[in-house]
Amino acid sequence: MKLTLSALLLWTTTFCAQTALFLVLVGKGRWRIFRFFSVWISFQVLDNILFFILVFSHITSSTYKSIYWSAEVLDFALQVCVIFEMARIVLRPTGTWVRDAFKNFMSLAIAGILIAVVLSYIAKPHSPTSLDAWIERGSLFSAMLSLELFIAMAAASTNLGLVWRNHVMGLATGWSIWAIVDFFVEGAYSYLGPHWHGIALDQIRIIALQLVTIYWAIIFWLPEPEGRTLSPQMRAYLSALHQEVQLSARRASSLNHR
Amino acid sequence: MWILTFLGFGMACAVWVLFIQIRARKLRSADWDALVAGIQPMHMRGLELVALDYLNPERRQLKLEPAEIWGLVGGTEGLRRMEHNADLIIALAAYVRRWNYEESVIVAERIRHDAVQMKRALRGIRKAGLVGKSQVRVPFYIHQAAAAYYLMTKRLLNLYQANQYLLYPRLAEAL
Repeated sequence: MKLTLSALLLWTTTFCAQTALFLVLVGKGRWRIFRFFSVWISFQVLDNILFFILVFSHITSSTYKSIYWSAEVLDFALQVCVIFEMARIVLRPTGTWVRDAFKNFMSLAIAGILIAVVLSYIAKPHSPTSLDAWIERGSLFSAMLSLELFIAMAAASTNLGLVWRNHVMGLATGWSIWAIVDFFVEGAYSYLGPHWHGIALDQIRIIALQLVTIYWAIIFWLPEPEGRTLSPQMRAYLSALHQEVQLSARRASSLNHR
Repeated sequence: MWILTFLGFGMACAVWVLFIQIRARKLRSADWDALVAGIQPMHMRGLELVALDYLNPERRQLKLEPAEIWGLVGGTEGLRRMEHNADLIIALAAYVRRWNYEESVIVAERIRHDAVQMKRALRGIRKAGLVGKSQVRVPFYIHQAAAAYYLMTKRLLNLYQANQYLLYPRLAEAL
């Protein structure tokens, strides 16, 4: 397979931006807090190298497709893990879940999953075969879910008045921009077909990801004020307080519904 | 047709994300003066009467009529102000971590619990207003909301009185 100059340029710049971000995460020790995010970025670096090699190797189209889709599924699973990681950092500021935060997050997330299922089911992608149409529906579903889970996490935290620290705020800002671009590009991809104006849609998505990656590299390079943690005794006290409040809330709610 | 639904949903998500980002940034950047200036005053005496009627029941537990309760909390405007002030009160409690980290974390957490109860009660009032059928529950919800808000303000004021008595008078006046 022969790569065009623009494709080669996009591949090189993406690879450089992602490698730079990976080095920042490792070099500055941010991976200790953002573990799944670091794994996701390192996966993207390896994914880039692997597909560069695959493009120039003599493999059949079906082998290429199966490797490509396996990587996409793994990429999506890691994205979900990153969102849960953000939720863990934001909704458990003292090491224990803020009361109602998890419930709030999960109810919004379940609503998001249902909406994503319905919208991807009613979609009629511009695909030549039925299998391609289902694959495209899967891509639509993953783009929608990534955005909706992010919204669920962010809405749950702001509803409870939780303040985001610098790094997680930067990660969330970049993620929201990228998830929105991905959402609309995937919709356009399904509706207009994969060959609309060459690979214009892919290029928009790649450039958005590059810009966000550079932004993340800068954010994670900059220091943030050191966070303080509760003493083990206070953490145990807070945990007991949560349990007690949850128990009495459940009792009160069961009494109300009698 | 599906693409229009998809685009509409995408636009709604984008607006929601923008709203969340603005709210999160406001919460991060607000300083103490801005937080206090943002508090919208409530009729605390009336609110206290309703809250204590609920939290500290006396022999005559039906002395406050529903219309009286509604008037004492300031009606629709009072409920709107309570909701508006809730996030500011949490932020003000969290602010105390500069002087007393552990106490402020625990008190902010308790205030957050109260705020959740209060917002739930306010949602109940709104829902009852929409549905019309469960109007009978409204006074119960107002009692719950007023009690939660009263506890939030009490916890906050006591936290400041113990840790930052210089700022306490201004806070007490604003609330």
